[in-house]
Amino acid sequence: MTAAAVQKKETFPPSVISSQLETQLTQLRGRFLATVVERILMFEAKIRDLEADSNSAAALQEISNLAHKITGVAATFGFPKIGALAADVEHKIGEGRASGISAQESWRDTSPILEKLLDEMEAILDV
Amino acid sequence: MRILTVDDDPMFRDLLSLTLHELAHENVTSANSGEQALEYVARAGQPFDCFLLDIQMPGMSGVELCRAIRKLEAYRQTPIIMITSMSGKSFVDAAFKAGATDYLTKPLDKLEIRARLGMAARLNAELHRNATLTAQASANARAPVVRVDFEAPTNIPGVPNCIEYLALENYLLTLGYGRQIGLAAFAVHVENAASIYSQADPEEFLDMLKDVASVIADELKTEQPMIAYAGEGNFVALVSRLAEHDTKDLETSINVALMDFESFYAAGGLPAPVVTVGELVRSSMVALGKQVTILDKAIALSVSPQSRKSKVWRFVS
Repeated sequence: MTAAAVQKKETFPPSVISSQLETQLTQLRGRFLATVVERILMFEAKIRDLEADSNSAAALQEISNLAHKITGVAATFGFPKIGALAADVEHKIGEGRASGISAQESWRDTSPILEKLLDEMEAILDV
Repeated sequence: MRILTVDDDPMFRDLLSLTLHELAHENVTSANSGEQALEYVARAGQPFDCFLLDIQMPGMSGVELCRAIRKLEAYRQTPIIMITSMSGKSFVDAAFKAGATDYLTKPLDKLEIRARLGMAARLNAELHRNATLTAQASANARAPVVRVDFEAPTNIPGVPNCIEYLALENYLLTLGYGRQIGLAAFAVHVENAASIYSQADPEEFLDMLKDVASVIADELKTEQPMIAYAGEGNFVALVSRLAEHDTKDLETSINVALMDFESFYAAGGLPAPVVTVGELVRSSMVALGKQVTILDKAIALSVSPQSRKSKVWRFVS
């Protein structure tokens, strides 16, 4: 089915509409799962930067941005714990920024939460 | 409703579009950045009826985008709903001060979106009704006609931190009781608002409200309060709970400042506005969970016994 046909779903009976939406949601969930490995690798690259104290502020911001993207969608795709942990990571980094502490200090506060998030993300790959 | 959603994450954009589709909102346009959103707005043949903006985006943030949209004449009152995973008070404050009407936090909750868009649709219906009436009235008059309903909350553009009353209510609801505890409200009542309304044309009445709002904002400029006009001559302001305000002093300062405008009002054959300022109302003084009543309570306290009495006379006569 073309995207244009999906756009005109109001012409279909409710059962068909609901089935189409379900299919689209399943496709989106598949896209989310397909990005998990890539996102774990991106987190790990930024963790390495922070551990080497190389451009820490930018690395921390990148971690916040990655977490932000996960927060927005994970719960809707059936991973509420991942969504909540990603929100915690984002919140903790935002809190550090607001309080004016250094990127390294903020990283020390954020690191345990990010570890839990990565554990959860890895766990869904095992299922 | 023509909806424009803005988010830099393609997956979230698709999920949001799907959710809106499911809620029977078919006319949805998605932009991947604030800059692209402004292009879509500029190119739109028919204006958008509602915006859903992510706050945290690279480049132009959602708050900056909200501010830019509000500067456009056609979008002064269009519902703007911010969507973000950040619920820190500073983000909420910034969004509402930039002109947001409402606020949602990620992850998406279908029921919540339905409720917020329902509110947006009602607001739009009211805006369209007013626009139609104004256009009809303007067609019969030489100059453009402004409509102001005395009882209804009115948007007062161009005054710093003066937001729509509905947005102020939504702001309190968004904060919830826990964070609302840091706030206090008080109201400024224009005692002779009804009299001015009956003598002035709507544009003059709106100018009077703008004068009062500007003076309130100016008197409280160190606080940067959120101010809104609730109708019936009542302004409400939200300030920090810790703020030490002598409301009687504030009342005097506002009235003295308003006296500067007296000659302009006299030239138009109108009385200058005179205000009373009510006591500060803190969240603990109102019932738990009924966030909006802090505003109602503040308004009730600003209306002087004389005004209340005359209100009752009008009501029973």
